[in-house]
Amino acid sequence: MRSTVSPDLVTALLDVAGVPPTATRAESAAAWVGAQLQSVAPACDALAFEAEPAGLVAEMRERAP
Amino acid sequence: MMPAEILALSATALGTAIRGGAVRCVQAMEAVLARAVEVQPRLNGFIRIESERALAAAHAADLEVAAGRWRGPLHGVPMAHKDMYYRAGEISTCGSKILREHPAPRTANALQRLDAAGAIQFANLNMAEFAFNPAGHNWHFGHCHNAWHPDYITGGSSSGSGTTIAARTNFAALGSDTGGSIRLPASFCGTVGIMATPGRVSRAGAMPLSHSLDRVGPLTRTVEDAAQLLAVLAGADPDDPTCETQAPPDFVAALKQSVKGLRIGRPTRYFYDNADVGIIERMDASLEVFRRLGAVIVDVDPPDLTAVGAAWSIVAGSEAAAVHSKWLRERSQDYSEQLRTRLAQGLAIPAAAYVNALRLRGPALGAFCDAVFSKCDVLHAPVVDFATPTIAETEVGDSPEMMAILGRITRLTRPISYLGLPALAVPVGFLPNGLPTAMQLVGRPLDETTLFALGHAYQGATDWHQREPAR
Repeated sequence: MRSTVSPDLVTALLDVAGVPPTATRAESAAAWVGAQLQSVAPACDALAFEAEPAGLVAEMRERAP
Repeated sequence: MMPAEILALSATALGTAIRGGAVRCVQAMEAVLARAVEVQPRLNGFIRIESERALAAAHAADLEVAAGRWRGPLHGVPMAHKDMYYRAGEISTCGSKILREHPAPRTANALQRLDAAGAIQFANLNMAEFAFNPAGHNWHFGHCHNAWHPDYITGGSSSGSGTTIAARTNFAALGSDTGGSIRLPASFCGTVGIMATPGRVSRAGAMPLSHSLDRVGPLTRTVEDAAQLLAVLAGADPDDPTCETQAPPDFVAALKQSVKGLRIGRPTRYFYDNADVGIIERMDASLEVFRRLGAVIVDVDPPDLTAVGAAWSIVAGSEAAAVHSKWLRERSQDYSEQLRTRLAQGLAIPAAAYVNALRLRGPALGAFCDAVFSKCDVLHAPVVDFATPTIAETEVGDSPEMMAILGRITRLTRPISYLGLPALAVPVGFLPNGLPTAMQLVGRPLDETTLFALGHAYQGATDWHQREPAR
């Protein structure tokens, strides 16, 4: 997944959601979303094919004392 | 007992005093109401105070005591809660303009449990708008001010919970924690806060912010009170299918557990990377107390939590945007500028990134436990790594630096939220600017009992929790 997000994409997604484009600062939002994607990308790429959200509860039960 | 003496009691001590006949419920209620009137112009911690109803309930509680009926350990103890816990037919504003006239559809499970234990709610507390601001600001009801100095932030989002307990105008308060909203005001205001393991406390009837991350819990004056409150709040609830179905352990009995030999981990990375000298000094001093109590301090090397913090942002941002998408479309002008901007940017997070951030939680928890809990029983870390900022310093609106400032406040709390671990915030003294700060004791999943044992032992050896702000 690319970590560079275009401000135009942010504006388009807000438009899809029916939200006025004035509701956010598209450039700041694009930079923020891009930074989060860049930060998690290596960890997400290393996920097992079978990993699923319910893995958290399984791990919590296994790690409980 | 004089009002000032009553207000100096913990919730547990007040409950005992009421049961022993030393204090009447009406006396306690009159004391908090009078103090609330006194501090509200300075702190703005309350959104709504229900004096008449609270006094009537306190009178009824006294009659029950006289008749030998005892509801529970919190019988007659006055409490005010973050204004996001629903009571059927009444307004829970959630700190917003949007819900200002919207009666709640049901009563929160947490309130039902506190009612059943005898606690009496006398007010609804100020909070960050829809619980999504770690400084605690609210542009609709006015910002909360820190009881230790009104120029400084309370932390949020449970801002009123923190400052009213610190000001001794509230004995205990429900807060909620999605990325730090219990621990941050506890730290900035010098109170205790417990964020229990996900599933310990029902979220039914509490305002949702992020379904995967939201946790219900109390802020209190002492660790003993926190254990007592969690004992009341914890347990299965058919209305919240994520709740643990097994009976919770005895949190109050855990207070008596020995801490000798317990291993406390001091993180060698991440938590102190940017820490102020004043924070480090307070943390080291608290570790020395634990050492004297017989605990063993060990260095632990947690994995880098930068990606975990970003994954939290993706999950919280996506889920909050989803919950608010209709109002963002139809009532965007009714949000504060900052919250509107923050929620709207969540709409730009790709769905696949959101799902991957959820898939990552289990493996991230496993890696953290391998690195940390293989060497220690509890991780000890600051809640925040810098001195309490002023309200003016954090009044950034929706400017481009907004996310950096908000992100720094939650840098040490949101990874613990994302990993699903329990954490207890306990005050550890004062910074050079005169404001309090706290440690967070982080435990294995479902191991709140060890946190309570350590926190209670710490408060038995120190007096930070007994200090009161000047009035």
